[in-house]
Amino acid sequence: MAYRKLVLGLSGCLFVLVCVLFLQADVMSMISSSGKDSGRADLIMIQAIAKQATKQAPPVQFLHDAHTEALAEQDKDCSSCHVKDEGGTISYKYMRLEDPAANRLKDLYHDNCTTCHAENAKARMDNPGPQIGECRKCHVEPATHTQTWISSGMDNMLHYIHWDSDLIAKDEGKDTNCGQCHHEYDEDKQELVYIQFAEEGCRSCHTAEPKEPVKSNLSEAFHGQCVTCHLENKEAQAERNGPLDCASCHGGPQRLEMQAKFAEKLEEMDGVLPRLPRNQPDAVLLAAKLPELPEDATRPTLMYPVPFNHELHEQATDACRDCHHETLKSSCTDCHTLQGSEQGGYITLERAMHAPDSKSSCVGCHNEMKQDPSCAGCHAAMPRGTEPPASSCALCHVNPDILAQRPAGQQSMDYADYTEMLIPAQTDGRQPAGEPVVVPEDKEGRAALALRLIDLRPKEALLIAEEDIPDVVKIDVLADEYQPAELPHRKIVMSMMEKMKDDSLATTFHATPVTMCQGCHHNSPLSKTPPSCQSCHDQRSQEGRLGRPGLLAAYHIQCMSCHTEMGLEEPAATDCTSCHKQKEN
Amino acid sequence: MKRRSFLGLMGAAGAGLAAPAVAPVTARAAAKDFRGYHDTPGVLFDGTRCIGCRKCELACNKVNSLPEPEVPFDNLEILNSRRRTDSATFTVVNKFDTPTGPVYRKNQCNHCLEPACASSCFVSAFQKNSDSAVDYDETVCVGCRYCMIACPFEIPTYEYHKAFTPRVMKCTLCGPQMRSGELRLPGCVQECPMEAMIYGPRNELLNLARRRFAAFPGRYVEQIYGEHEMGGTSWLYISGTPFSQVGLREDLGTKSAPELTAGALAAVPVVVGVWPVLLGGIYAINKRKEKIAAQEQQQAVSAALAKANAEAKETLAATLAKAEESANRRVDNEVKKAVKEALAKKEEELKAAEASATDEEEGK
Ligand code: SF4
Ligand code: SF4
Repeated sequence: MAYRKLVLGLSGCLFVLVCVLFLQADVMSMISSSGKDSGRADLIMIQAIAKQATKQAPPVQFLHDAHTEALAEQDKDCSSCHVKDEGGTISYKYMRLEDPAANRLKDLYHDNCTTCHAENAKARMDNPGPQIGECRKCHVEPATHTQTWISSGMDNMLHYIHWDSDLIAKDEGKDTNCGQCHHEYDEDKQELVYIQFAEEGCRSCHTAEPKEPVKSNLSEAFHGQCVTCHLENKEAQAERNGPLDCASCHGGPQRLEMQAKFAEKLEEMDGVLPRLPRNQPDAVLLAAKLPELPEDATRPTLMYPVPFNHELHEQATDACRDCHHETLKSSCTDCHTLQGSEQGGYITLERAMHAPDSKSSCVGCHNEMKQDPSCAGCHAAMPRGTEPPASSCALCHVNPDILAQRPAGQQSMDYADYTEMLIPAQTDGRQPAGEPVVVPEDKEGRAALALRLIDLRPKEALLIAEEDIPDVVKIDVLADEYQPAELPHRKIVMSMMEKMKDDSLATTFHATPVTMCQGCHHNSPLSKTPPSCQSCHDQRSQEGRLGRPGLLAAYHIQCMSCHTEMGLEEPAATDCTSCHKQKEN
Repeated sequence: MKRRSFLGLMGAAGAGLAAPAVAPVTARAAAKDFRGYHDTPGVLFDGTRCIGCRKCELACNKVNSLPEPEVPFDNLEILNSRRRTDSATFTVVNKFDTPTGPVYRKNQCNHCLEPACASSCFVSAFQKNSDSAVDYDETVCVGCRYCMIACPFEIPTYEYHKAFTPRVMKCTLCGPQMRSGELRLPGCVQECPMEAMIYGPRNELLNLARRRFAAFPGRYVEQIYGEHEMGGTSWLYISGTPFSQVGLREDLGTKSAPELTAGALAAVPVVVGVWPVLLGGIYAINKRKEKIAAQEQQQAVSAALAKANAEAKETLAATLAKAEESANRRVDNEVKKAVKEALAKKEEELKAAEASATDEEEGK
């Protein structure tokens, strides 16, 4: 579990890095055509002049971290260049709170930068910085550096480190410290207040172009909040103060390093992060919101509601916003309606939950989990296409009536019966018109129902009796150059069962004792005795069966791609004799 | 006449063909908005399946009765060096190291729909056959080797070691064997244990490739190499890594060789498809001459030396003499220097048994 999160985290991070590198390379090519260095997270282009009518000098490439370091050596800090507002929040802008006119801005930079550099020169520093008259040392063209930074954010672990920290003061009369960062604007009092259990992500108010009464945009909010606090901690000589440089949060390699550290920490905690103290539900019953219907209208056909294990998913995601996007205050169905709404970007509820390639849809995220080497052996070989398989609908959309038929905890190992549970009364899993399943209106009632339905899910991976699994399968249909291959069939099945033992995603979705078999015995009906490979993969020449592998290729592709996907390096694909011994003659 | 039947094929697929005499012009005009040779056969190579076993190389060698290779086909060490086709090897599998591990790609003649080799050949030794194979007729070939310079994939190679009847050698798509009924599939396709290659109608292969893209999102670079490259090829490639990373040139454009250079000389009748590439090629010839000459020399020498291992020492001396003689006729002094260097290098590699042979050669 922890390992998977690490891998997912790291690969996500790498992905972001790659994306940023590509995007950035394009954007930056406008700024820098020579960009020889590998890209800096702290490069700031000072383009005050860009706001003027005529171009006077090329923009200045300012290396922020180089300055932070130089200042630290002189025992100075952020406040040498950044001023604080009356609330004590440090400004994101250089030496100012608000932007003056372009000309004044130019003077501001020139005066302050050169004054400091001149003082350095007077103090006979080794590298005092460019002096008055050395215009081209700052105004360089073409640019020599490239900027590559990745957008930062609070993932679950970073969040935990903050709310668990003793260095951050507790909220008044509480033993949590959430209110030190989370706030809301109180219209009546006209001030920022903290309301427990209503905490929101920063992004919900501090957007790129915030609307009144929100004052600061996202980067101003983040930098003001984080840097001010980190700086205060440093001034107070706290044992830890958090980063004050750019690269620690926005540098690719630094982020990867941090992710690795977090993964280690998670491992120490047995892979389980304590849940956020926000009173979030353990379970939710996801059901479409019915549009306003006239009295006599026919009710649209709806799928059964989906019991959603919120607690479990908190552990499996990087941050709340992975699913909740901007705000925690509305439910999925508020924006993603049956027909789609402007708020939800016209993404219908159905797409929001099922889009196979979206990271924030249920199906998309589950698909991503299948890339785990333990799962990929089977799943990478399965065509994924654009829709989840219809047979899986009933795994999530459960008829609540089932509770009446089966008391909680009673799990059947008889899979004929089990199938019945999955596909209740209506074979297509849909509700009959006019007989709607009664879903409680209140949150608590729905949560309780969801919990009971979740409880019905199999707690362990299902499998047919071990003795019913063929032990060693001899593949000799094609023996010609080599001796027949002996496939350790049962051993393979049992080792895969072992891998998915503790994985609730796998145990829920491998819904019958023979689902597992489908990994190899694809396209054949669920059965304890699936048809043999030859029944579909014959040995005829390729003509007439374009695209469906012949028997020889079918075996090879199946075995080898599974080994590759599961990261099994032995035997090598070209080591023929490790599977079939050479014929002696 | 094969050339005409090829053009006829183009005409039939594109626009109606009035008379064979105006065929080149009609075909060229039609080529502008022409999008594919629908029912001609082709081969789809799926790079995500190839495991680099060299069974296709072995099959090719057998089917075409090519000489036994220096390195046996079950030696996979050789994949660590980059190889190209030569006169005794019509196909090679190369290994490419990528961030996600090694990737293998088979290389052979792509059997272009409008082959540059054929356009550049003024005696029509190359013909695009209706079964997609680009055929070579050694009886008319004059050995000018323009085809080698014209081919954007650097495929045709020359039998330097044959003093009297040297031929241009390249993959034949097993055309001869399939036409005679000896084979039902090209040898390499037949033998691949992974079905990394599929033989079938080109349009169906294109559809199949797209079906694979759809069924396995993220697995492939969703593009089919050879669909449009150089006006399209009968050999198609799909890959999980960018094509340039598996040694496929991505700078070729979608225009076929005849179309590329047709404009300037459109008034030249009948041979319009031939001369432009030839003339346009002169620039390329000058540029690549030196490189190819050096390569040729090295190949000539190593081929001759390899032969000598099996034959008597006198034969070696004679062959070398001939090889060098014919080489001398073609290259300037600078290249000669390269020969000597190559020979000196070879000498080190030869064991005591061959030492005397090398001495003879050096003593000349
Ligand atoms: S790949 Fe080269 S040799 Fe083969 S048909 Fe095309 S131009 Fe001719
Ligand atoms: S036979 Fe098939 S798998 Fe083996 S090297 Fe050739 S193309 Fe690749």
